Amino acid sequence: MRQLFFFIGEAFLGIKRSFLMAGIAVVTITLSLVVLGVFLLISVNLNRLSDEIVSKLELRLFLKKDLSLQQIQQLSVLLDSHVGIKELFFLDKKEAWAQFQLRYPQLALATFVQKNPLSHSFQIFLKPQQDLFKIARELQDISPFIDEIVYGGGLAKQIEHFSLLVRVIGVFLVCVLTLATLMIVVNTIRLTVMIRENEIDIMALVGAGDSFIRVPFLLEGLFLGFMGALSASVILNIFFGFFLVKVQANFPYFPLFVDKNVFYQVYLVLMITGSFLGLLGAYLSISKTLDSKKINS
Amino acid sequence: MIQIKKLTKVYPNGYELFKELDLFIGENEFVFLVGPSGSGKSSLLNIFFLLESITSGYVYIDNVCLNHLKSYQIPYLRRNIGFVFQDFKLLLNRSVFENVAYALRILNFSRRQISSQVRQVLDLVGLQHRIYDISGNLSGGEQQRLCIARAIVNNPAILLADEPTGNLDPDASEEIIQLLSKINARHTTVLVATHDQMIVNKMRKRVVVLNKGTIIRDQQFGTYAEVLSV
Repeated sequence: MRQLFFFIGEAFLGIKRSFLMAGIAVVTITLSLVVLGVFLLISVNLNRLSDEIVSKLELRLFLKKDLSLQQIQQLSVLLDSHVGIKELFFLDKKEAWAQFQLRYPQLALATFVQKNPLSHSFQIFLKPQQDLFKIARELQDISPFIDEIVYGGGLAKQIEHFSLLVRVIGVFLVCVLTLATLMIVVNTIRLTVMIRENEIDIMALVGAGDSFIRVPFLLEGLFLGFMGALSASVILNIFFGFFLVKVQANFPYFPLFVDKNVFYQVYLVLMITGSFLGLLGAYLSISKTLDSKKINS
Repeated sequence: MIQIKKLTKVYPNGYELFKELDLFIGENEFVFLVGPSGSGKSSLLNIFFLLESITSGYVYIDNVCLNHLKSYQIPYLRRNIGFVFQDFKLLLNRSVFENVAYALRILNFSRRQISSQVRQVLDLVGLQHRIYDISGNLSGGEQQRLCIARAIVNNPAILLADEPTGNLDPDASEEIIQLLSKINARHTTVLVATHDQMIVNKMRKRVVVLNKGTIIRDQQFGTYAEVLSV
């Protein structure tokens, strides 16, 4: 505990002594994390958009003719127990035929079509992030009472592809941005370490072990990373607050995702990422310096 | 206390500095290592302090064979050896107190222990009145005394000094050497590498003369003049 206080004191002393470099490190981390945060928020919105569209697509299950009420109830229970289904509505064939005739009165269907050509059906809405095609295939095999399944196949497929593409590109960009941020952080912290290389030499000469030298630098990296992430979160919060108000005022039907909880989750991710990158950057920098100082021949 | 057996040191460029060198320095001895530049005085101290490796042979400090030390064990050995550098190697932007206290913080001493021990040692080297001054503002002599204070604050068994008076005027040199003598009187083995004829002559302690990596003379109560006669 005694040493922990000493290490914390040393870390803050280190920041004070190389204040300019520490400031540059914080600004660098802030900028990198702002880019990462913007991308994460855009990615969340795009995913949400594609989920929204997919969730609005419905599946229509047409049943075989001449099913008994008991068989229909059996099927209803079976469908209800499916994990991917959010809502389920039964449409009686008589009701459906009446609605159809009402919708197209100019066709005078009652005159030309004597017998109801429609079957009983279920209208199904899926939970978010469900694979429409997979569920359609599963339902096809779930019961022999189902005659046909109809859904917006083409559109759903396109949206599915787009959503997948967004996710793949998202993961790739997050990895690239994280790596780039790490490199920047490592090099910036390395500069602060290099400024104090003489100090590190002296510490080793008076008997300080690697961990004794390393810990204050790690705490410093952690703090700089956290400060960078905090600044990035504040900037994003201000920017998105302003941006969302503008977009919603000008395009009220644009499906922007404004759930504050998701924003806070993104900020939390940034805080953890920033602190981790600061810590890792400091670890790599100080380790490199300490390794280069091992006993020379 | 310090023993080297058949020590050989060859640098990567092929230059052989020491060839099967033997030396023994007993407990509480005060020894001057003298010789021309390049004779191996500083290298020998660096080997004892594990700043340089050896090619073959054995080096024992306090019965610990340095050949078999792992790199993580080096700091533990250094905590038992004080080293006084010619260029002081102080944390120049920290106070006198902090420079000395750092060596004790490594050993996890309590705040009270640190305060008392630092004051005690600063009193010994005559820097008590400058305790809160920034070490970069001290004179050369004072910086060297601070370096000695840091080296002895945890009561090491051995004190190595590499040209401790090299950058100092005669008066300051005199003070430093008196201080080293005082430390030796507290049962610390002192090994000083020096060119300073005046202090060697004045102290009349054991003098080991090195030339091109070989011990050419080892004399109790020696003087620099006798060295020159060699």
